[in-house]
Amino acid sequence: MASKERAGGGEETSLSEDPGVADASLVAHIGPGDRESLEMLYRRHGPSLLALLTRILDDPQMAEEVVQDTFMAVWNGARFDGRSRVRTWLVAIAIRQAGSRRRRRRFPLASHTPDLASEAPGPEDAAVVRLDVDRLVREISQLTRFQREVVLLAFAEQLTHPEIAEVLGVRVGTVKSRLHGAKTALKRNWEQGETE
Amino acid sequence: MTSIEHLDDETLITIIITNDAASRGAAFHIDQCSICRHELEVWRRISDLAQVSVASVPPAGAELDEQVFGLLGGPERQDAALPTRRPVFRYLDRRRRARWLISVPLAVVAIILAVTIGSGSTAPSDALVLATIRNSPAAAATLTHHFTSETVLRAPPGYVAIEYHDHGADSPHSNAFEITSTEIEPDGPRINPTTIVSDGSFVYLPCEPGWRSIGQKPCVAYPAQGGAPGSLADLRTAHGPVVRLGERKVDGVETTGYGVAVSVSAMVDTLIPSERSLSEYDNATLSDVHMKVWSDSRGLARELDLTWLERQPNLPALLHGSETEQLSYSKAPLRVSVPNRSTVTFVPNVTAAINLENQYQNELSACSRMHTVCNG
Repeated sequence: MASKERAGGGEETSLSEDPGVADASLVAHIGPGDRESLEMLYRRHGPSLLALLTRILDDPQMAEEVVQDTFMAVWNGARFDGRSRVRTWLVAIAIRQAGSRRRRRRFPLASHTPDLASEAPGPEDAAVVRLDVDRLVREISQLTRFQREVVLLAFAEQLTHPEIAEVLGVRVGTVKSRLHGAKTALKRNWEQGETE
Repeated sequence: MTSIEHLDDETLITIIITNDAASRGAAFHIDQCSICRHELEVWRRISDLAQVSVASVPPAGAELDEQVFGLLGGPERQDAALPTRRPVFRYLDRRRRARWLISVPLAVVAIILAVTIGSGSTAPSDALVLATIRNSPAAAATLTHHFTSETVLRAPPGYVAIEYHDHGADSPHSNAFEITSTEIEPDGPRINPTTIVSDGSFVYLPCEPGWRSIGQKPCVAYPAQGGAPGSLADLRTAHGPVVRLGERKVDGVETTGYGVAVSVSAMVDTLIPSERSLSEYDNATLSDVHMKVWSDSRGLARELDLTWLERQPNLPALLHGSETEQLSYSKAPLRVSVPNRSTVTFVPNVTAAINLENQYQNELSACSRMHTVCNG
């Protein structure tokens, strides 16, 4: 976990070893073709982006594909204009790539109940997830994809309403409407659960 | 804003994300408006759902890394230090150490499996394994239990992971213990190790000469009613499903592994009220703890691997906790050195000790603000 001392040599060598390097600096270095910066950016954001996409898409395999597409797009020159955080920019690329993947597949996304045990590295790792989290994950997966999207962007990514609107390419009013719909649906589920 | 004009969803969500109602000018309204309080709780519950949902996604295998870099034709993956996040994730203070008086018993449990581990006979049933685990505290009651542990709390992007290195020993027989903890924040200020000891009657917090500034003696102690960090009692709350992990060597010793879970809520219920109030004080929410227990042929646990999820009340982020603990045992009695009683302020319970700590920290903050030196 310890970070390495910055060596006195060239800046490019030390860049990816320095955990304090800002995301924007990495993106700036990726432009001219610095693979180490891309690798660093991927290591910082790839895993959490994959987790977010897995839940939004409800499809682990497609989520992996979208993560690949996202970093491929970054490598191939997706432009970062500095108006948002790099993280928000990556999420926006990923959401667009996910839309593109869905259109290419030409069939609706499977709305399966996540099999956490089969996704985990081993059965022992699944146990802790099953204990408390399984039910919570199921509640989120019962929302529509649009509702899941805004809920996860709002709370897991902690984006503001305008940021969510920009990422999704919709109006702020639409974001509010979808969030309200998600809240109503979840409350309804909770009330039904209490009466059963 | 009147009580009729309720807070809108965007405001409520922002309050949850920023954990700050006051700066939104909404604290008073929420305090007065039951409808908005209810809506805030609904959104908070949804926030938990979202965070738990994402946090519980298992990490991708190395295959994804290879695929990404394979697509790019990039260099082969190299092991790199985990990236540090900004802003600095400083939710832990000295109070945290005290809270670990609850957490540590959970972490430093040992499991005695009085079954035919590694003997080649029929594997024990789940029920037998669980029953043995739950009854195991008594089996180690005469052994001094030594441990070292590394605990890491990981948070989502934007925060810094924090590590704890602990080592210590406890004697279930006498209830005495000694635990030394070091907190490590990458790039953060160096924090000296702290040692908490108990002679089985009282728990002594680290002595601090500055306590004189609040009119107290430099050391504080409270009755050791809750048991020692090395207590095995918490294993009584272990539950299934039991997962067989196979066999492997731990520190040169052949061991057999089982995966079980420890119920945090049941564990808290077993605490005495004064220590239970401590958990309410910090108000942290923990998932059940998943434990991998590696036990030797005598049934003594040699390694515990723990994972859990944790939500701190002052953080919008969900934390991933993990801990690896190495254990050894000896028949030698544990001897601890406690402060001279004339230097100790004795308080009735751990909550009172924490209140004193807060008073002291506030005093330090006030001194710092006034740019003055506070002497005892």
